Amino acid sequence: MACQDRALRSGSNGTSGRHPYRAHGLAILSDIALDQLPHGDEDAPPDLRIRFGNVPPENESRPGYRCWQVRDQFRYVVRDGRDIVIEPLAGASKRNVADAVMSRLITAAIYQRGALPLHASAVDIDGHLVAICGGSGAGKSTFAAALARQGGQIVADDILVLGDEGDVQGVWPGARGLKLSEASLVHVGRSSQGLDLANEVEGKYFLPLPPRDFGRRRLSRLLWLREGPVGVTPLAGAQAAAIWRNCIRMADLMHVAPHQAGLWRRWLGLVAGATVATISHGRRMSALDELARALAADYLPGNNTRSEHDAS
Amino acid sequence: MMQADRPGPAFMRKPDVIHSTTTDGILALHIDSGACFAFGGPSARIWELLEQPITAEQAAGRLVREYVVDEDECRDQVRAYLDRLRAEGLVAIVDTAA
Repeated sequence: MACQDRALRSGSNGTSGRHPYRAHGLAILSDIALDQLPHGDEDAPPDLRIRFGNVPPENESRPGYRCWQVRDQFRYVVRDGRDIVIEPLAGASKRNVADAVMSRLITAAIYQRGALPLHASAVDIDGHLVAICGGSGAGKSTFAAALARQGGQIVADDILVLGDEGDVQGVWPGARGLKLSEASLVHVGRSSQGLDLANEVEGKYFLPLPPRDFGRRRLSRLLWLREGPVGVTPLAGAQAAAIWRNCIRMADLMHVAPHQAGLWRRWLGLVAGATVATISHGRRMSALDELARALAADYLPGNNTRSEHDAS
Repeated sequence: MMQADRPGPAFMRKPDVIHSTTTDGILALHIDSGACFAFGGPSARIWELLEQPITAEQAAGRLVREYVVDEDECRDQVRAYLDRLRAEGLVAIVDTAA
């Protein structure tokens, strides 16, 4: 067990790691490699520090503090959105720990910092940012890949963070690739050969994409990807606002967020300012491509099928 | 001569209801239930007035000055509307004597 713990704590070259990242508007310094995040400046003072250490045994969640456990992998504590401590359990998988840090723990930190995380992937199409929300397995990343094939650029995968309250549609990028299933990879013309598994739970692979310098973006379209016959249904008013359950990450943490009222106002402001719709692909990959073409046609002159994947 | 109606209770927005003003009106969300509501036109104006305690009669009096509407009909509709908002958990009756 001691050798497993050492392996978990070591960097990819076998030495102790301090890994700098820039994601979700934050400078992040991590003891554990988080390979799905864009690399950051080593000299930048960290907004969020992720480190190994001892974690209290009792679960507790209150404003500015969350102490919990992820399955049989590790215990953690997140404090004031600035400090994350991880205590791996016996037999923990490095891959699973890293994946959970990048999703659940960073989400908890984002809430503590007063920002709102959406459960969304996002694509920039000629300066127009489209967010694709939905539950796990809905096809967000696959649809984002389909939009990228139409000329879009991936800005976020699985987490999209709304920024300052003063700009309700401002969002922060936070991914340097996509997590895709074997079937989705094949659909976009890629093989899983040579790709790392994102985690050992979902069976998805991480497809890195060409590095890009994305600053804050403004969200122009919010799509909720859901089950149903193929089609797009515009939403407005209370109907648009009501899809928060499907769009906000770990919404149960809203109740212990230090700025809960502000977060809800931010959500209302977002849906009021963006074009909102539900989109359904009928569980057909080909339908996703058709929907992506139609959406891209709204923004791009002609139909540019340049693929971002081909360049990686 | 008709006897004047006794003024009804005062209503006010509940603090656990968040709202945002949009180009089309007002979007509101109840924090505890997550239920969402949209107000436009006179209903949006009533929501604005509910920032402070206000009776149906007072709210109707304001609407009559701002919209082309019959006063008695307006008062009845505002009373019914405030009761609906209260049933939805968006407003509460407040004690203005305190």
